[in-house]
Amino acid sequence: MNKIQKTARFTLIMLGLALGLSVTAVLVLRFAVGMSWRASMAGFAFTAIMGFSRISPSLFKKDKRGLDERDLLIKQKAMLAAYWSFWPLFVLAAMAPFFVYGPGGKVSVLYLAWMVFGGMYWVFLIYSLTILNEYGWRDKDNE
Amino acid sequence: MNRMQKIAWYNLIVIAAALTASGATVGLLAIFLGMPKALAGLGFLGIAGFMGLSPVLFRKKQGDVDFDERDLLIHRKATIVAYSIFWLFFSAACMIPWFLVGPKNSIPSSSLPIMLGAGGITLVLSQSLAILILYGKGEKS
Repeated sequence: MNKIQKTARFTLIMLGLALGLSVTAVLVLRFAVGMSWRASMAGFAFTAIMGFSRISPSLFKKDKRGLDERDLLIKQKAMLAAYWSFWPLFVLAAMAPFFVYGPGGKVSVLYLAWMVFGGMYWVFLIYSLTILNEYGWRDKDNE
Repeated sequence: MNRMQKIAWYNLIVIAAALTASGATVGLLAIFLGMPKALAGLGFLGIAGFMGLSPVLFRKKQGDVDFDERDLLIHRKATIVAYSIFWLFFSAACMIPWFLVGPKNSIPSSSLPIMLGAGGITLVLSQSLAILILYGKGEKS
């Protein structure tokens, strides 16, 4: 497994951990502690774990052989897949409040912050999944 | 100049026309009618919709190979550059209102489709520029 694959796998673990812990914390705060839904949203602070995915360059050493053309192509493909899949979500997120609340309605600025974090989560997720898929999930020949 | 470069030039011209027409109209209306009514001039941004005509205007020639590996690589690179620039725009557009109006306030829902349109223009503009830069602006072959 090369550095790109290790990084992608690490990112996926961090994303899963961030989402899992966040949802668990929100549910615990709401149903076990009895907080209101609004207060329970504090559990989403665990999404900060996503930030750990950025330390992967220092965690995994560079491959001895470096990056070849195939690696670069896979990285490009993964990036394009992540960005292209993000665009329909962006359109949906931008137009939904307009149709739900009408042109004279109001949207909380919190929604915009959610758009950024949600978009970031989605892009990292698709990027990592595409990389692992392109190399082959169980491919051991990329040393 | 190949098909991709022609489309890039066409997109740049359409975007420039849309921005110039809407900017000039908003400016003139602001002088004569005042600010809220002057925003009607933004309707000229609809000119950007003409970008959708590029596949019809610059059709693929049947039988000709007008897209090789180098073109594909340039197109991919340009798209990645465009989305990277778009991402900066998107983050700024989402976070600036947070700092301007405060975390407990709201913004009009009509500002989100404007953000979408501006994002689309940013994306096409940066992709077209990246394509022209990667090919080399003066290249005629």
